[in-house]
Amino acid sequence: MAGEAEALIIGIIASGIRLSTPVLFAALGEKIAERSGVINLGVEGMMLIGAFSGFMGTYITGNYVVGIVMAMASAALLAALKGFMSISIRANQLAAGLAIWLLGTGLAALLYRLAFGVRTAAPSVELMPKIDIPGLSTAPGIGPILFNHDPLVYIAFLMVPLTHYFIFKTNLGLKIRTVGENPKQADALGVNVYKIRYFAVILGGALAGIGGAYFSLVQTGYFLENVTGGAGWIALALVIFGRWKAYWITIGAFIFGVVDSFQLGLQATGTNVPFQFLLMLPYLIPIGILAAMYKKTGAPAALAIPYKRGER
Amino acid sequence: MSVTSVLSQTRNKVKDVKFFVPFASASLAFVVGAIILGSTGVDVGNAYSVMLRGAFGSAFSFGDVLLKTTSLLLTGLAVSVAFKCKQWNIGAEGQLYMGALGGTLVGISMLGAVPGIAIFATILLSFIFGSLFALVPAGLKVKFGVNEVISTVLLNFVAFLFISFLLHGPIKAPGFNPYSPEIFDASQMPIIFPGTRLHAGIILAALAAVGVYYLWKTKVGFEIRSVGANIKAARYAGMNISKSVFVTLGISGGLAGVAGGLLVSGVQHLLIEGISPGYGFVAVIIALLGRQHPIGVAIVAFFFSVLMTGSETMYRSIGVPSAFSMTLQALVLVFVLVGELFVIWLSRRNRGGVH
Repeated sequence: MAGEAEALIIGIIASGIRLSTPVLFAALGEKIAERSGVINLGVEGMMLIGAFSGFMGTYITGNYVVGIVMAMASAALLAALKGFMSISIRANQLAAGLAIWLLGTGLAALLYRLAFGVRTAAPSVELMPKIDIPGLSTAPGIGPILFNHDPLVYIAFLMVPLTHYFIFKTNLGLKIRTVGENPKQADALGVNVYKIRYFAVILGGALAGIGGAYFSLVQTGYFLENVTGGAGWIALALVIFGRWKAYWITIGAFIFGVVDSFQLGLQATGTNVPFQFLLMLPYLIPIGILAAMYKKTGAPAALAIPYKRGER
Repeated sequence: MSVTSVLSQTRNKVKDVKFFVPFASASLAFVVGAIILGSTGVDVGNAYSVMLRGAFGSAFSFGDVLLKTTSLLLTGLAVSVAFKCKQWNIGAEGQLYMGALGGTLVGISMLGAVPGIAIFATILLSFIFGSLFALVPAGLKVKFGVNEVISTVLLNFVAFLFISFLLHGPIKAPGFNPYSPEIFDASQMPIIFPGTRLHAGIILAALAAVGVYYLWKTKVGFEIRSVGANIKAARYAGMNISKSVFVTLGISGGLAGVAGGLLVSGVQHLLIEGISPGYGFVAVIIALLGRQHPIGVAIVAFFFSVLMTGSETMYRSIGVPSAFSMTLQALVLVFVLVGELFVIWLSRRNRGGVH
């Protein structure tokens, strides 16, 4: 019996890691954008366009790498548009983000329907295969939890220290942080505020694109309207929860993933709780952890404030 | 001509252009929409004419335009009221669903069979349900500092799931489909133009617009606007910020709730899972484009209703995907936001190098 319970827990945690991967990608990307002082509420839209483009690229070429690159490119393009609106034009950052959300949502559904029409059987791609890490995947406990996943999970693992190092240890990361905290001072030091912000927002978009593609290429194998199911918004919540720090964001994503995995497991085993209430958990958890975070901010000082050269 | 009159003339010119820029921007969105459709082999001219015919082709279709305007105006006002206080309520869709639930509960109860009182109770309970659901994020914000953008968006999903649960169990009508029982006749909004689906709810929506207009002239409305304009100054002036947040979101959610109640009482006559095609989401664009002014919101709501009604016909008759209208609406917002750059650039140029 003990062995069975252990296997169950390992299974829940392992699938929790897979469920947290897309939100982790998106949250790490949004963290970089927000560090530069630009909040992008359009994460959900960028993820959806990523889910569509990733599917389309893989469907046509049969190559996951092409799909992922297309997902990154299309989401980055939307991010660039968001950058144009909030950095160059200095439109309200929240309004511009909402526009990107709805544009991405509409475009993904529209382009999918235009490409495939209405079919009885939805076109699909084969799910991305798992890769066992030799020697580690059979290790008891942590083997199946950490080393028996699809490649994107490993890339997400790598992105955590990488984005942390990038933001805190590199020259470009320092510039991003300065621009997000005090753009005027950054400008005085010769940093091109606009360029840095564009870079951060576009990079954030590309990561959201990978997160979106994870849904269509790893979790479902086909594209559905609203396949991301609010993951972009959950990612935005995780950035606040994680106080704009990669490791804390990862902990938040992990909590989210395990809870989601737990409720899915409960649904499968059958319980008296109606499945709709279980499905609410992934949406209530982010709200709960934000409430628990009460008054512990740490947001970049210039977040959501457009910068204009020469203005006091 | 004196210097001042020249100055005021150029200023007027900028004002004139400023007025037309949003319309020009909106037209550009249609051009981009045409390019997207055209590139996949759709006959664009035909598609747009089908859209117009779908909206204005008959009394019935125009009735549908006004019917959708009702939903979009109410949700647009809901989001506008919140935005005026800088409360980014993106949860109008969920509040609409909760309002629809409130209306349904009246309509299928004994109260729903009492003529006169039934409709009044339907509207009242849909307002209360929408309002209470919006007070959740208000409370979370005031008590725990939870960002309302995220909480309102995520609570939409909670509302859908809750409605889905009720329709699969507690309030499910006998039969295969997850529908509620049909509401009593006494709870149904009367049709105001025979031969169309247009019901008396549009009068209610218009009254709501007038109400919002006058809300800003009251003391409560002034406080709400002050909190939205400058929260520090409002606090310094001794205004109760928490109260403003609660009142704002309460009214906002209530208006969205009434939109939902009217969908049950005036259109479907029962509650279904997909009762709204995303009115609460489109409302965000409407509130932004209408600049949170009741007249602006009403104009954009009508315009977007033409678009939605027309694109439904486009889907039925030539198979243009229904997601086209959402894409077009978002594009209009993008272009109008970009169009503002043009206005800024123009006024700066007219100031003649003052910069």
